Amino acid sequence: MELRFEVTEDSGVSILAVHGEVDVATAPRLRQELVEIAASGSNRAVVDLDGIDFLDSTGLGVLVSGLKRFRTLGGDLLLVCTQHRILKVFEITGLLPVFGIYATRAAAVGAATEPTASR
Amino acid sequence: MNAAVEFDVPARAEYVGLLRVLVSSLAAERRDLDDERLDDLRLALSEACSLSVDADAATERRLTVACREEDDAFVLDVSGGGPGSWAEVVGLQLIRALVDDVSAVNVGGEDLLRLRLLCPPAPPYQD
Repeated sequence: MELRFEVTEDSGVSILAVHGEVDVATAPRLRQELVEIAASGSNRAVVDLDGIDFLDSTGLGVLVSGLKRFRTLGGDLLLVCTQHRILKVFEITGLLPVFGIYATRAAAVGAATEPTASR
Repeated sequence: MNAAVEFDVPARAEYVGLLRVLVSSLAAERRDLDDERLDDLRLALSEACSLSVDADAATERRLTVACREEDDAFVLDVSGGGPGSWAEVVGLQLIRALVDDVSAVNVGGEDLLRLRLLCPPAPPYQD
């Protein structure tokens, strides 16, 4: 199954744009991308989910572990998502308030660079 | 009523996406479901299949999804599996929220997860 990533940087924040379907088969690749970003020395990251077509609980688990990893490093992991069907997965599982979820990359990067972004 | 259809694939993660496509295509053709309900079905099915897949790439286990229609519902029986890890427990939580009924059943000695989505049959095709 196709899953593509683009990694860029804005204002010291790593941005991971994800394209494709995140499920039990592909979620390990998302985990690896997040691990590599954290290992590169970045402790603030934005994952842009607006390019994905599908997200299941395995993908959610990867995002939760990524969130813990970045917060342990003194930073944060923020999300970009405007798709109702993806946001619904966060809502059902009660994870909406756990993540900072923004409508645009600019808003997410802005939040990540605020002094209060680290939780 | 249309005939029941059963999909049978290796119980490996890479086949879950294929099952999503096949089962949702069948449901879209046979039942009156809007896009959001089809998304619900795709996700619930995917979660149920994820409970059953094996991390061992050499597994010889099979994953079956049996689809049948009732007057007011589209019913899926998914073989094997059970919640264990965090993702699997959350997966079951998602399934419960997305379909109208979920139950563990034993048919012929086999444990199945039965998902029931209330929906009328698709209206007859008209030019």
